[in-house]
Amino acid sequence: MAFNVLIVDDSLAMRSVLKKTIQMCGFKTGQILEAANGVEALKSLKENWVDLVLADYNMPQMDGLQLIEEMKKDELLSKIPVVMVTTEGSEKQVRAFLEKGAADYLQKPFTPEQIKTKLNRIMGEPEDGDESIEEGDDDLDF
Amino acid sequence: METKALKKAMMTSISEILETMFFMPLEFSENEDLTTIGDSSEEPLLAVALKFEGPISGQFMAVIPNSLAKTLSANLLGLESDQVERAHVEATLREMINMTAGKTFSLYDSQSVFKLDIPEMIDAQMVLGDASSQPTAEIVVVVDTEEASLGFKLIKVD
Repeated sequence: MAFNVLIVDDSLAMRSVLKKTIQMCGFKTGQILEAANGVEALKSLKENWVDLVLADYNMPQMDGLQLIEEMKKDELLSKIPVVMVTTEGSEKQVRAFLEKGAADYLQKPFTPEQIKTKLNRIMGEPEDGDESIEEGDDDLDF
Repeated sequence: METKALKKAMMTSISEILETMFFMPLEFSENEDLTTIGDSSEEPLLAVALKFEGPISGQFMAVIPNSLAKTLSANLLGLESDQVERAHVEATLREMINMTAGKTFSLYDSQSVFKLDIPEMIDAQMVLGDASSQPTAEIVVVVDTEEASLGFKLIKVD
């Protein structure tokens, strides 16, 4: 199964990097959509079928956490997993992401392998050479 | 002690980000004089800055020769160097300083939240010269790559 992904980041460079990395890392992607902030993302989510959102935390107009809050208000959008992409790695900040409903977070810098592992786990896809899906995520333990 | 720990975090962050995201091998220079960057050529220097607030507040800045900035941009975005435009370079430098600052602060103090402003391009002289505000501490890291050197400066303001 291929997944439609929405990348939300105010940085043209990071949108490009994430798009390229997702395409080359081996994660099964369908359409890859882009938005420059939370407002654009909500519009795109209402107009397109999206399976997964990668959202930057620090954005003008509507940041990543506000985007999750808005998505949670909508019955359909609330079911779409959101991975928060961030430079901020404080435990307090990460806890806030998860408490707000982020499926996981990705701290920059990241490698293609890290992205593939996280996205496959979130979407219930088997890892290469391992058909079992592990429960939980070490990254989320404090 | 704080300055030493911050500088160590800066160096680890710079190394990880330039090598992981920009595929750029580097060495840290013993020289801490930013005015030597781009000294040997006539090419323009670009600079980017980001303000931050948290347990410490101030500004995180970088200064880089134009040609090296184009190389970093090509590496990050997967473009040929002749495809790199000014918008690509500026977006790349903004992302570089954002990632470097974020990683530095998470390494320095993982318990605290640092608020990072949106990065902006600035005049290189603002990095090379004296800061307009009154810094209480200043940390400079000069990085040598095969192509050229670039510099990072963190100024702490009370």
